[in-house]
Amino acid sequence: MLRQLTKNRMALIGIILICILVVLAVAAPWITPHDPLSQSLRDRLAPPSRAHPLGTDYYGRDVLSRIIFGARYSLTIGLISIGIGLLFGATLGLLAGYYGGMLDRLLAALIDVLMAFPGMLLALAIVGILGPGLFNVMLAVGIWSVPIFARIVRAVSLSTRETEFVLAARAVGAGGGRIMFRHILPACIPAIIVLSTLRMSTAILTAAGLSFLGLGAQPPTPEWGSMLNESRGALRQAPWVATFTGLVITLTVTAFNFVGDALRDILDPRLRQ
Amino acid sequence: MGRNDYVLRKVLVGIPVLIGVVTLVFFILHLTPGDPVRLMLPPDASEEDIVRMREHLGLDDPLPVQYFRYWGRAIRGDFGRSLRSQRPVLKEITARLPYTIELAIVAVILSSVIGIPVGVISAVKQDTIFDNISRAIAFLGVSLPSFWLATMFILLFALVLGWFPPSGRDGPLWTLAGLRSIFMPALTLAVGSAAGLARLARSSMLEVLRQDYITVARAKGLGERLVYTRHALRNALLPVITFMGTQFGYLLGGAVISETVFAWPGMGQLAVNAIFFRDYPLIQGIVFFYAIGVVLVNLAVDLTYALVDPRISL
Repeated sequence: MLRQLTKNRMALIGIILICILVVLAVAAPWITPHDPLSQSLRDRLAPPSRAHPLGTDYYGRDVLSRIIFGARYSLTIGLISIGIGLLFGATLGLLAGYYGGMLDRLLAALIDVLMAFPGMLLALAIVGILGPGLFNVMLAVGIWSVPIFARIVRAVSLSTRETEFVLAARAVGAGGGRIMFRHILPACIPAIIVLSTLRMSTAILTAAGLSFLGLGAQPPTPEWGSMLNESRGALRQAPWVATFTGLVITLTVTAFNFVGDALRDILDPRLRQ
Repeated sequence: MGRNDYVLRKVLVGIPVLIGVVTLVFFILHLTPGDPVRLMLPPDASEEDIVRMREHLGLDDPLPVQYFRYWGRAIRGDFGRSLRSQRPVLKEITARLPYTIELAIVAVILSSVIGIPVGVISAVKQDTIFDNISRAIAFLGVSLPSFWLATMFILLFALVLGWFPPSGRDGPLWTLAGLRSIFMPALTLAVGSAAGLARLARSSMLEVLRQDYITVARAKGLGERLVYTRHALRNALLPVITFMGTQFGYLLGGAVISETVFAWPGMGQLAVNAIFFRDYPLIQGIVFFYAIGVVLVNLAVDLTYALVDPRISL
C-alpha cells in the first residue's frame, strides 16, 4: 500500500509535508530559534531577517517559532476531534448496522438531521452552547464528525452482516460484541482510514476558523487561527505575520487532502461520490 | 406520482429536520451546567432574587413543560429577549437577516458565474493547458482557509491598492459604494464554492459527454456547439444544482467568517457576538433561523430539480 501511495506524486508531496509537520511539532522546543511567547518591544513588527526568518509580530514575538509551536496545536486538535468523532461514530454505526431495527431507524434519522446542517454552523452552534474555548472547539468539531463516521461504518456493517464469515462466526456461537469488534469492525477499517485523513483537513480548518473568530484558542497561545486573528491589528505594518501563517495552514490542509484523496483511490474507491 | 405529491413529500421531509435541530439545541442548552439566570442578573443579586427570576422565567417547570412552551412561543414568533440588548430576539434577527441573505445571494451568483463556465470549458477542452491550470486552481481553492483569503484580500485590495473599503457596508447594492463594499466579503465566500462547482461541473460534463445520446446527436450531424448547449449541458447541470443548494447552507456558515472579518452587519456577526456574551435566548433563536434556512434551501433545491429534470414528475 505504501508503495502504491508513494507512486502518486501528489500523495508523496502530502506525506513529506505531513512528516515535516510532525517532526516540527514534536521537536518544537529544541528547534525553535526563540521562545514563542517571549515579547520584545524593541523588535516589534520587524520584517524577516537573519535573527527572525519570518519576522516578528506586534509584541515582538518570533513568527517562525510561533508557527512551529502552532503545528503542535493544530495536529493535536485534529487528532483529538477526529478521535471523538471516530469513537462515538464507529460505535453507533456498528450497533445500528449490526442490530438494525428500531435503533437503526432512530440513528439514521439522527444522522440525516445532523448532516442536513452545514458543518461550520453545527460547530458554531455547539460552541455557542458550550461556550468559547479550545477544548470546546475540539468537542464541537468532534461531535460534528460523529454522524459522518457513523454513516459510513453503518453502511459497511449492514453489508458485512450478511457475509458468510459473519454467519459462520454466529453459527459457532460468537456473541454480538465479538462479531462486531472482531469481524465487522476490521471490514470498516479502510473506509475509516480514508475518512479520518480527509476529515483531518476539515477539522484543522474549522478549528482554526473558530479560533480566528476568537471562539477557540485564546491569545497569546501560538495557535494558527488565533495568530491570524491577532495579525489583523497590524496588517499594513507587518503583512508577513498573516501571509506566512495562512500559507502554513493552507499547506497543511492541502497535504492531508492530497494523502486522503490518494488513499481513497487505493483503499476505497466507493467513497468517491 | 404527480408533481404536487412530490412537492408535498419534500415539504414533509423538511419538517423533522427542523424539529430535530431545535429539539437538540433546546435540550443541550438546558442540560449543560451553568445557570443562565446568574448571567442575567448583576453579580451581587441575592439568592432570593435568583429564585424569583427563575420562577418568573418558568425555569422551575419540568423540562417537557418548558419544551412545549418554547415551541408554542416560537410558532408565534416569540423567542424571548436578548440578555444583552433586552430587545426581542426576533427583532435582533430580522434586523440582520437581510444583509446575510444579500451577501449569500451575491456570493452564489459570483461562484456560479466563475465556477460553472470554468468547469464546463475544462471538460470540453479536456487535458489542454486551460483544463490543467483551472483544475490546479480549483484544487487549491478548496483547501484555502477563507479567513486567510479574507485577510489577504484586505491587505491587497484595500490597504495596498485602495480599490475597495476594508470593511463595513456602505449602502444598498444598487449604489456604487454598496457594490464596492460587498465585493470582498462576497468574493471570499464565493471562492471555495466556485472551486467546488468547477470540479463538479467538469466531472459531470465529462460523464454526460460519454453517453450514447451525445454520440447520436453528433451522428445526426449537429454542430459541436449545439451538442454541448442543447444536449449535454442540461443533463450535466443537474448535480450542479444540488451542489449549489448544499453550498448555500455552507455559505451561511462561511458568512460567519466573512461577516466578522469585513464587519458586515449580518446574522453571522450577530451569532459570534451572542456566543461571546453567552446570550442564550439569542443563540437559540439564531440556530432556529439557521435551521429554517437550511430546510427552505433544501426544499428550493428539490423544487428546482423538478423544474429542470422532467423525469421527476413522472
